[in-house]
Amino acid sequence: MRNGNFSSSEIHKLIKAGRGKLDVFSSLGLTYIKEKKYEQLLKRALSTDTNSRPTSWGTLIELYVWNYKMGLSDYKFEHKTRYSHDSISNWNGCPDLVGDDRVGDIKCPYTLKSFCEMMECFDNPILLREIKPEYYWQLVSNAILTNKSKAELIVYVPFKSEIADIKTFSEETDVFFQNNLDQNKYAWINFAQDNDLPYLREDGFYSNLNTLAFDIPLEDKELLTERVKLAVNLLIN
Amino acid sequence: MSEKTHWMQSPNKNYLGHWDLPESGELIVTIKSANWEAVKNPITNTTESKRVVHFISEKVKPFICNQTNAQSIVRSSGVKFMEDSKGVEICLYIDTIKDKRTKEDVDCIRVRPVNPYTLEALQSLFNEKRGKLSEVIANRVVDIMANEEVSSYMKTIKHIQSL
Repeated sequence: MRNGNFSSSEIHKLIKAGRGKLDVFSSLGLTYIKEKKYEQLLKRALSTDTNSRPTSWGTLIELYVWNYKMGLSDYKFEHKTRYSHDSISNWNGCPDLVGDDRVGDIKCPYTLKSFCEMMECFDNPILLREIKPEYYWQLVSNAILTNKSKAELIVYVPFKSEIADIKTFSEETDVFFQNNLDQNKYAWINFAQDNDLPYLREDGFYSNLNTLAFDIPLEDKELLTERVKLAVNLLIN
Repeated sequence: MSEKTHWMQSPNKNYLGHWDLPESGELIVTIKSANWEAVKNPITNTTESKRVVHFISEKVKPFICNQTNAQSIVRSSGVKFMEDSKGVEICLYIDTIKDKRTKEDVDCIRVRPVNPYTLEALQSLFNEKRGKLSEVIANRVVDIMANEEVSSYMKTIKHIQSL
């Protein structure tokens, strides 16, 4: 269960220490821990925003990428499976893709600015760690939870010529049934003007499908594990 | 069909209702004929003309098809005329709709196309085209079928179909 637990998608908030010498967590980290405490008391999520356009766009395009842009491989699409840590309670995550030795995450940004920012750090994982720590640490966390040594970040924004295909895909009733999704939440995509959706021009600088694969440094796995242990101590005490 | 008795079921019902669908909530049927027929409403004791769909299986009662479901049949089958609908396969499933009078959610039957991305479809396609697959891909497909990786059925079927 995600509620009241630290999840991979937000785990980066626990990495930074505070400004004072004795501050184990930054204010962002302390707020995150406090929110998890509230969720444990509420027994439900604080945030109820699951219907926003960026969220539904991300979910639909993730499925599109999986079905149309990725060939058959050892990857399994596990976006509904929540993995928990073997020994540290209150730590779980939901990787999009799980392969034999790697985990993968598909990102489909709704804003082109966010896409361009991601592309700035796409040359190497050290830049990703600095510029988009939320994505880097999400992969590290999921690799720990699934006991894998490699990670892959897949970032996709369609070319304009693919928008019609995506709109057709949004009418594929069976895909929604098979993935237990409410198709009504995605109907807006079919009715949106093309210019209101994020797309790339074919003659622009960027590719539509971008992949960054890397080995996860053992020291980063150890660092994250230590940080989560400290946070769990604050959460349960 | 379900062997249990739904609370809403009435033995006098001549037409298909959501309570007639199996517990899985889905029923795949093949249309035998579709016509406008005079249907008697036992509550108001009046007769109205309705679109009625008959199925090849005699175990399935005729289905009064409203505007929404008629549109679904046209959209999913591409068949525009009732007289041309014989042999069209559809999937009936249970959905909910807000009752205009009581404002409560009530069950109803809806129509959608038959899912082409099933384990059976994958198995049959795999058997047919196994020779065209590399050993690595063939092993992966066997793995997908053995583990029933539903999320991979569509892409796998499309991949094999493209060969």
